[in-house]
Amino acid sequence: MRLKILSIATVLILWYAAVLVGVLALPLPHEVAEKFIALFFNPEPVLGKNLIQHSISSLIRVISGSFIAFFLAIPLGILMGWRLSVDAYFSTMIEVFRPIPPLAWIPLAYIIFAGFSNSTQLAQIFIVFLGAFFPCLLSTREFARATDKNLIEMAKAFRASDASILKEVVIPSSIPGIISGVRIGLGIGWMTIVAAEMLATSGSGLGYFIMVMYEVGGRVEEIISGMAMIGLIGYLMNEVVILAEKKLLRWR
Amino acid sequence: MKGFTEIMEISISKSFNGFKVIENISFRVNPGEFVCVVGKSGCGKTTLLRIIAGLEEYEGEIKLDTERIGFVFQDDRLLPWKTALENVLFPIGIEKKIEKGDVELAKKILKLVGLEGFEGYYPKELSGGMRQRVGLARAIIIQPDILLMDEPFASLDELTRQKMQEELIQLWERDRKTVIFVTHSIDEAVFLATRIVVLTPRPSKVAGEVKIDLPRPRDRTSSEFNLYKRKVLNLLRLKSES
Amino acid sequence: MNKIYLTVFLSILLLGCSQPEGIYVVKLSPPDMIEQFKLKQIDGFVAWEPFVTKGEEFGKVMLKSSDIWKHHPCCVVAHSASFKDDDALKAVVWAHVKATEFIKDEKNKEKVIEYASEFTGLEKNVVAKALENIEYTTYPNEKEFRFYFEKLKEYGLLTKKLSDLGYKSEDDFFSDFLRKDIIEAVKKSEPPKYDGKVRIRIGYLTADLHQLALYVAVKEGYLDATSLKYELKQYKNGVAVMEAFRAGEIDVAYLGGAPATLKRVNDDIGIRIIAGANNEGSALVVQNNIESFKDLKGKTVAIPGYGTVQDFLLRIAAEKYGMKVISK
Ligand SMILES: Nc1ncnc2c1ncn2[C@@H]1O[C@H](COP(=O)(O)OP(=O)(O)OP(=O)(O)O)[C@@H](O)[C@H]1O
Ligand SMILES: [Mg+2]
Repeated sequence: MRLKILSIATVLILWYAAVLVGVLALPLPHEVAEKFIALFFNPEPVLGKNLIQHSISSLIRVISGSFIAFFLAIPLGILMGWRLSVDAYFSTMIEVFRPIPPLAWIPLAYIIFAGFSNSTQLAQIFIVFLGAFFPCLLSTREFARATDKNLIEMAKAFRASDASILKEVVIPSSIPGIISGVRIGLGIGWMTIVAAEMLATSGSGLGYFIMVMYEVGGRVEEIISGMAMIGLIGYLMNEVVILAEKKLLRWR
Repeated sequence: MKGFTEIMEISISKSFNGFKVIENISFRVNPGEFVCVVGKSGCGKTTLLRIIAGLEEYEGEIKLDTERIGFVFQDDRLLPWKTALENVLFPIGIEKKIEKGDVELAKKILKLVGLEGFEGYYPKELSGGMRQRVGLARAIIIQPDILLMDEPFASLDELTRQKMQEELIQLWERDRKTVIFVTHSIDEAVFLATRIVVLTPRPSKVAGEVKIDLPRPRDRTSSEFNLYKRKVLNLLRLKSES
Repeated sequence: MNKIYLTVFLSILLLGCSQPEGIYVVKLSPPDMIEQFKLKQIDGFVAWEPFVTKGEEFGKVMLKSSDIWKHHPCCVVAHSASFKDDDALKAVVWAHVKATEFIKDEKNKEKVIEYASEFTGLEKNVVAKALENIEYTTYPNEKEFRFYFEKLKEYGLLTKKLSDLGYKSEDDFFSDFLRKDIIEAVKKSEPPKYDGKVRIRIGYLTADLHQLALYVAVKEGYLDATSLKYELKQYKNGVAVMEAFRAGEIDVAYLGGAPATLKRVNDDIGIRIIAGANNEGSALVVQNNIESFKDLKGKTVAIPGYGTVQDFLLRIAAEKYGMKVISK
């Protein structure tokens, strides 16, 4: 706890110093803090929304995109880790798509979804999906594959069926991988949504907020407040997953 | 109980990648017997048990009069995410929905192996000896007709080990399950067995059998006990020199 | 316990969704406006030519910008305050004036359409129609510029006061920002011979029909006639041009009056306007099913950016009809 405070204090002191010495042409931390608190509940005049509203817009996109990703990546990861044939079939496909950064998909996503109603939103959810899918898949697969062979043999000695082995041995073994996959997936999804919002018109969302503030100009405090909100939410999401991990993995 | 005919008769050999591990092991087991299999490390004892349990291919023949086999492993092989109680219930859970009666039974068995009060503990919270007892409880909850045990006490300290041996015998005397118990400790074998099957080094064959006619509880320091130990040791030595 | 979380979550969600009634506005780049308008994902948009003409293929013009705000300013020519070579500026403005005269001369109509089509990459019939709606000019109307400035203040888009920038009054600011000496000096038709060493860097927006004068000045050889050496740099939008000014990448540029003013004040990027490029030329285009402005209630209209002239065109029109403009 003391080190946590110290680490935050270091950032603030460096910030103050850099601004006061004149290395950084930025507002001072307490000015940003004031603006941040003001914008938390009061709408910012240009877009007419407060930070909570922008955060909710971004969060809805991230949660829909990443949950769809988890919904597909977790079962697929488990099957791929468990059965080499399933892995061989899917892995080439995955290795082709995986190196493409989600952000590189942005233009194509907007084209693909142009014909749908609510196309911007769909494209953004799709990009989050891509960002969250691969880390979750790989992490789940790795843990499923690393299932202790001795435990599988134990289950076989008790005449367990394949379904039981999957349910009782392979899936529980994969849970730590699933959780860290969810954690990384949410983190990457959160980063990609902010970038996707910056590139296209979303009407709301933290990335959009930052971009509009930049375009209108003279709103460095707003920009940093938006960034602080991104950081804060990212941090909280991580903490929530870690909390869930502690509860779920009491046996570790 | 299966009457007087043998519960098992085997005659097998086994190679791994063309490399002969078991030349020809053949022996019989009668119902209610406590058979110890001794042999040098690497002679194929674990392989033998895995073959009996149906986990490994083999050449030859196994006549087994039952499907209900309990296995206690060399390492404990407990599921780390299940509590002691849940681990004991594992073999039941894979067959059907666990009912209240099953939980009662599992608790009773845990009490029997001396783990009353530890039902809710995770494997990492138990000592090595306790984990082996959970493994034993898990094997006997399915009420097997034959219990395969692979050096279950090998990793325990001497005192714990002797205590576990005594408890195992008490358990066995209670319901006279057929047991095949693998060990490389001659002392352990003479203490536990009604009959000892001695294996030669790889590629292994049966070097000989020794019937142990000692009253229980057995005294490890008695001269008869040591006579038996020497007998077994001679069988082991003889074959490894030739 | 879970119920409490759910309630909190839902109430935050409702808080985020409940909005007063009005026209919803979204920010889109003009090419995206056309795409989304075609797909009926937006009900209308405010943009400049040639996007108005393109939009008319799928909908109709509801209001021309001249109906909403007569002589509203649009594109201008500005220079970086740190660029002090007035002779070079005179050469640029002279060529600009000549080119504008060329464009406005009826005799050159065919040629102008051809140039416009080359410059924007659009078909001739589209640019021909679009050209009719653009009022090419050589200097912006100061009164309308000041009106625009008032609107920026009214809607809270300015973060700095003019006194923060070192100006005593609004008059003081405008006399510096709208620089008239250069244009007055080049009114005679002689090309001012430039004999300085500077190679001037001119920024402009990709395919923006309002900035046709620059293309004509190059093609008709007006710039060359002054012997000024120049280099052209293309940008995506006015914000990018202002950033280029800040970074010292360009000396002169054609850009919208809106980003020029906004970023001049808010980010204190030192630029001065030396000429105008055009007035008006924007319009509110809507889907065919929208009969009157009132029908736009609850509908979505796109603008190219907040604080742009198009943003205010929509707001002024909405005010007239007693409606609100809400960001979506
Ligand atoms: N899956 C396998 N593939 C190849 N060789 C194997 C395999 N399993 C066992 N072996 C070999 O078979 C031989 C017997 O192994 P096993 O584990 O049955 O010995 P053991 O008698 O149980 O030894 P210990 O007393 O050390 O447990 C060893 O030489 C081992 O290397
Ligand atoms: Mg072994």
